[in-house]
Amino acid sequence: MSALLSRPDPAITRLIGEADYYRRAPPGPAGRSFKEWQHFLVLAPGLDLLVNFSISSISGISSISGIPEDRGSSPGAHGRVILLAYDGQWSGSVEQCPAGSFTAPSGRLAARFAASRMDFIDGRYHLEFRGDGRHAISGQLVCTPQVLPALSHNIHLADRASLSWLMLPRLIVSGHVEIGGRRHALIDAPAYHDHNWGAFRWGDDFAWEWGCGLPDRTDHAWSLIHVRMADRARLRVHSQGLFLWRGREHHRFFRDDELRVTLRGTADVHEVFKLPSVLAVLAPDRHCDVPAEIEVEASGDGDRVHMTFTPRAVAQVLIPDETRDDRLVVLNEACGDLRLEGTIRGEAVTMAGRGVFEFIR
Amino acid sequence: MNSSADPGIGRLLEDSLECLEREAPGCHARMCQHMSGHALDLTIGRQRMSLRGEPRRLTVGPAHDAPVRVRTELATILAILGGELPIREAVRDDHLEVQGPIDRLLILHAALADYVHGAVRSPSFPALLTRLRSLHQRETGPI
Repeated sequence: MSALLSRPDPAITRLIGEADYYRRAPPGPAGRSFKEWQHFLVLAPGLDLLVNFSISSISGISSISGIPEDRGSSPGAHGRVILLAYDGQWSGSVEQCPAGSFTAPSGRLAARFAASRMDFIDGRYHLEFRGDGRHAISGQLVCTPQVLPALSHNIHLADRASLSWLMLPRLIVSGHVEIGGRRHALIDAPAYHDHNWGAFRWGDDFAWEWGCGLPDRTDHAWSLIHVRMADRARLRVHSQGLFLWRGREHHRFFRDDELRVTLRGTADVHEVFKLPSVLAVLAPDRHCDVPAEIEVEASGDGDRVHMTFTPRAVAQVLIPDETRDDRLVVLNEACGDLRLEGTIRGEAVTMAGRGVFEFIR
Repeated sequence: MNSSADPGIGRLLEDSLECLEREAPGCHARMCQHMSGHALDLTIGRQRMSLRGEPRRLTVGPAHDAPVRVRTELATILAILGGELPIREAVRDDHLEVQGPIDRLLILHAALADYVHGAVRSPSFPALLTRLRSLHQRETGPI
């Protein structure tokens, strides 16, 4: 990438407009376990930030608890804004937004969640968010996409459970973030975005390992996404892939048999931050099931790359299992260092940067 | 409940158990199973009460001696719920005093897990948490 796009690229803007709109729950049985979230990561020097606007049917939990389902215009939908930041220490909150306190109209790329909001205006994402608690996170960010988005539909998770996914792995972000009185000013910092939707229950027979990587240097061309879908016991991998962008373009996709993935050791982190905090009572462990290193070796058609990710810090987002009422699902969010090297179409690939990986356990 | 004390926390506990039974009946049933035949002597601040388990219900009643005793402050409960104080550290540093035979304490721990699993699945619990914070503010002023 010779230079970052300071202005929105019309082709990128058009594709985002055509693909990144809210779907919302379809009618019928699939709608009862429908989930959708818009996910943003900032990987700035000295700050890792996660902003997630999430909508979930609560019928899975209702069916456990016996609560009659809301049959109104927005059946059972519940919104959440998850804010999580690491700037040498973890901070975060989950803002609950019951039906009536959030809007995210289907077909549009705009949302209001209590004091937080997301808009896509003139080719840029505008984020405004305000958390709660002692180390509250708040901020205003403008994100300019740098690459063409990619779509992946109906990825198998488990029986009658699937997920669709829009990937936009590279943006630049400017604005400010405040964390418990500490202010971070951001100018053209690296960022990532994806949008997910599908019908599944937390606790269904699946586990994913997913991560993104961005270069430290703005003049480096490469950005990437790795994903691996397995059953909950992680004995059987359903699919795996490594997506590579070069500059604006989606350049290479290694899939399934072209990948060899190795998890080594256990991450040596001295503190595992947990969200929401009340659920730490049920998951007080200080260790986490996150590897000390994940290595991906990909090869095919004469191309070969080698990627490693080493977590530096881990936080856990704890979610009540929707298939049974005595278990949690743990989303381990790991931020760390990422390296990529190899050869694609005869061109040497070398990247050193940062990554965020998510391990469901 | 101790009639000389403000009934607020005892009433709140009773209301939360009713919510649990209504909105997370599976968790409530497991909690009853774990607590059946057992009693807890609970002191929160200046308020002392008992929690008794029966096969299908849990009752909050007047204070009386029981094999398991728990003593803490509202501020400690809020700090645990707010993620500022891990429950392990609260016990270690005597912010949460727990006394009793180890087998009874393990039963209490299982019942607490049932209660929290139910609480996070019950739509009415956020309002109960707000009431808990209000009780604390009434006692100490704004947090």
